[in-house]
Amino acid sequence: MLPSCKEVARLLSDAMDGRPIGLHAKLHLSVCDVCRRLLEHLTILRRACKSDAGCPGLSPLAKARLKKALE
Amino acid sequence: MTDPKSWVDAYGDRLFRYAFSRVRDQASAEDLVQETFLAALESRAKFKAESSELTWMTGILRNKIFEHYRKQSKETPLGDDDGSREDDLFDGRHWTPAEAPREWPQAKAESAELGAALRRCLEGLTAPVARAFVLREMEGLDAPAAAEALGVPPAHLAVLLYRARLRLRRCLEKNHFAPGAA
Ligand SMILES: [Zn+2]
Repeated sequence: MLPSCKEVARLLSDAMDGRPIGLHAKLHLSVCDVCRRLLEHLTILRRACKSDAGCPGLSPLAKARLKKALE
Repeated sequence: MTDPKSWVDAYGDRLFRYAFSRVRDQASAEDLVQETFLAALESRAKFKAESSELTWMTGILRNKIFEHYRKQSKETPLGDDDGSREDDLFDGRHWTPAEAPREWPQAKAESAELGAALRRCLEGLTAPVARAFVLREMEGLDAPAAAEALGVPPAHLAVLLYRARLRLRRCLEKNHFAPGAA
């Protein structure tokens, strides 16, 4: 029997950490759109982690405090 | 080596962003940047010109963040996160219709807003799950190194990462990718 979606979700997460996914899970992916989408989303998630865009910088108050500490 | 007085303007924002996205707490991130500058000041003699100052300071900051994590790990026992929320995603063997991953529009997957949305979603994770995710995906440690940094067995790290990924995926789908979401 092929693994369930629930099992495949876990295997896909493990695969992101380098564990081989296995033939049965691959077969599941070949017939299950939803789990294929999960794999795509995990890949997008990983890419999104590489960018600092949208993060705020130091507040003016914190900058003033840091400058003082470095004097 | 540049004048330490210029460091805050030159590197402050970059180091703060790096710290903030990893510790998720403004006060701690500011403290870490300050500790980094002070450590840099003290060990200026060891700075080698072949790396940039920013790279050198980021390395110092990174170690400070790891220390911060180790302290936190002791304060928040890992047992505070149960996996019940993942069980709701599945109805026996299959995804429930409400929780099944939907198609994500490509334009939104490539938008700069995605990173900001991800950071907001990270705030919703419990501390152990978030720490595991940050070490593995943001710091880029491999799984054995992340498990060691957190002081958990590799099998438990895999569970924490699974929870983090599924919860973040769900949060992004609701708050970033859904039609009408920012
Ligand atoms: Zn499936």
